[in-house]
Amino acid sequence: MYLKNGKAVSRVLVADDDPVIRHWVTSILEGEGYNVVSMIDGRDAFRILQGDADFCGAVFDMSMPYLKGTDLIRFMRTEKRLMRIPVMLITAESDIKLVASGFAAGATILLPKPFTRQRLQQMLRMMLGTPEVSKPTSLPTSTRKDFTSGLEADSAIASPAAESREIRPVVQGPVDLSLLASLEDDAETVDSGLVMN
Amino acid sequence: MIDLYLGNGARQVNEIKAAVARKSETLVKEIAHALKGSSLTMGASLVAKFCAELEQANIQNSNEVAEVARKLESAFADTGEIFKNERRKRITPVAA
Repeated sequence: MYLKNGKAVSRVLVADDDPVIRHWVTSILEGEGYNVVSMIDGRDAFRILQGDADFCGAVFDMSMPYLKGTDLIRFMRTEKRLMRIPVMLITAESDIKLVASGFAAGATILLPKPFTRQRLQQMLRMMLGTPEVSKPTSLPTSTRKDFTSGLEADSAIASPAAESREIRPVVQGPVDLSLLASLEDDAETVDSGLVMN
Repeated sequence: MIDLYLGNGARQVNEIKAAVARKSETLVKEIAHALKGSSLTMGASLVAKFCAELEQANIQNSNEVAEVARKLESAFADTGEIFKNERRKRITPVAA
């Protein structure tokens, strides 16, 4: 916790080498009222965790330079001051063994890419217990492709009770603009004084 | 988000081309995996597809890998145009 305008604000550690995902996750968390400590790779996150345990949660990319998200979680689970911090692992992996290794390391939630803004918010609320928390009994579906299987799956997976996966046919096309719309749900003012819907 | 994706993605596409030319399998797979992740999130399906192909490709089969890299570059350029057009469509004047 730290104080912002006299109020206690919970801190979340985010580590992702992809600036797109890092920016997106950070903006959503800040929108939820969290103070975000954002790191560009696993090594920087590790350095922070060595001297700072004041986080209510963490969001790591599974695959990062120097130290992977799973490496960070394994370290956290062996440290008494860090072991209770819930961790969401984001991954573009489709290999079930690699995905399972995230849970084996101790991830609380595993969120496969792609995911919508709504899905990320739901998973963050479930993990961090913010107001409006609702158990994911009927999570809305998202449209994403699993290129290796040729099927779509609706899949944010929480441990230990994994959600069931819905499998649907792939939608063909070079760009899925519904995902882009999801990224920009919140009106975004641009420098020219215009508003992006 | 679009600018971040296109700026970072253009750099990654160039790095993939260079890594393919050097036959650096580890680098090709690492960068392709990273670009696949952000492309999936942005809905850039075709870019993500070619990245996935590069992740699985045998770098020793240089003609095939170079061809996928060329397709990736082309798909990324097309996707950039689609995103820029979409952004233009989405921009509306601020209400007075």
